[in-house]
Amino acid sequence: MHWHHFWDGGSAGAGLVSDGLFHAASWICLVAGLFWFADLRRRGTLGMRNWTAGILLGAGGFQLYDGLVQHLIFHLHQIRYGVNTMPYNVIWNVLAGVMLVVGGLLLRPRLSDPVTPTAAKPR
Amino acid sequence: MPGWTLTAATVVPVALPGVLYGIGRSRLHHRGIPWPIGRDAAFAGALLCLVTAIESPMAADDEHFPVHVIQHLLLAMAAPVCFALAAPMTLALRSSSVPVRRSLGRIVRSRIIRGLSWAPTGAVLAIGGMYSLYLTGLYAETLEHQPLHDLVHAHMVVSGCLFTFAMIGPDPIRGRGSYRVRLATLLLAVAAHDILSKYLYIHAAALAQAHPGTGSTASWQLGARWMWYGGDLLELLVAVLFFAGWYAAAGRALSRERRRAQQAAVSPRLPSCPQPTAKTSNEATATISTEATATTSTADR
Repeated sequence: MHWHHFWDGGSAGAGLVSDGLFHAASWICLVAGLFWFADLRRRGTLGMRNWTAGILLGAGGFQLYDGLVQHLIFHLHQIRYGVNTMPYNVIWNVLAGVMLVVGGLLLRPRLSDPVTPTAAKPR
Repeated sequence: MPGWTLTAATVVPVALPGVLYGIGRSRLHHRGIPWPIGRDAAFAGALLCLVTAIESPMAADDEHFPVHVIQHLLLAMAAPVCFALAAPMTLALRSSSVPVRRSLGRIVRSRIIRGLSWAPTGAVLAIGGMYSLYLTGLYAETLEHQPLHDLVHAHMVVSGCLFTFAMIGPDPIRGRGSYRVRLATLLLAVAAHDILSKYLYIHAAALAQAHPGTGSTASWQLGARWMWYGGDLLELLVAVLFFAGWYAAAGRALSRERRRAQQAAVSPRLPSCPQPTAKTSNEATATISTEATATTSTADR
């Protein structure tokens, strides 16, 4: 996962700090998310459609940010080196957009949605 | 034994906790009070980490930077995680006589201990210690002076323990901080650790030159990578244990809510008890549950 990114030679001070924060935040979100998922399941309030929508929106959103800001604006790294990057960038960002759209569509409320009593979350 | 460093400075810090733990355990055993075997295993694991770090042949080689990193991971992270899981404070409280228990209780509730038990305190001491060690002349000094070297090792264990006890310890620590505070602490600690490891990697050449005898640039790079991966792994473990603790607490609260709901459904005119009795007829009332999905009332582990 991080082999080529352990230090790509381009990270200045700010890049190093943001890398560290990104890495820490993503692992913690992963663990937190899995436990949260388990908790919703045992309460019977897990909505698979919303969960899938969340994954698509999160992944799509990040991919779009990566594709536009990191690749094209900051030039922090490219998808592939030594080739014309245009088709890669187009496909990357279009895929991101597709994920966002599908995720958004899944979130629309439907008449068939059951009304479930929500248990209060303990602090 | 050849290669093993068995001096007073290395044997006492391992033997003393072991002896104290043994005394506590035997007292509980005599009174017939059960103690989870997992905690015994955790304490043994902690002592094993200490033995490996400061007594085994590895310790004799620890001026070599990658070896030092492994020592560091054992002393500052692995051992503290194990110590926290062993719940030694609970053992001390349960196994001591009433007057001792009262004194211990007073100490534990004192402001200075509460300040030390706050999660950010442990994190700052542990991570701050790391930054000071490698980014100032301190590391070079410890290579010259053995007592300072031992002191740094002791600091690693103690500050690591402050952090893990606050984050994941089952001991009844007051003032450890809310979930939010501890989560923020975890995030910043992991990030700070990552940043330091990469910094050491980037500046491996300069650091290897500044500390003759600790290894080449390649050694420092290797050590930095181990610090990153090893630290990551152990911090992931801390994160899992942290959220597992939340999950267990949420599960207990959920069970209480469900018992209360079932009692209310069965006998609506009885006043609701703040502490439901353990032996409610859960099987009979399960079908009248107001929950959307059928749940077994033995939902908690």
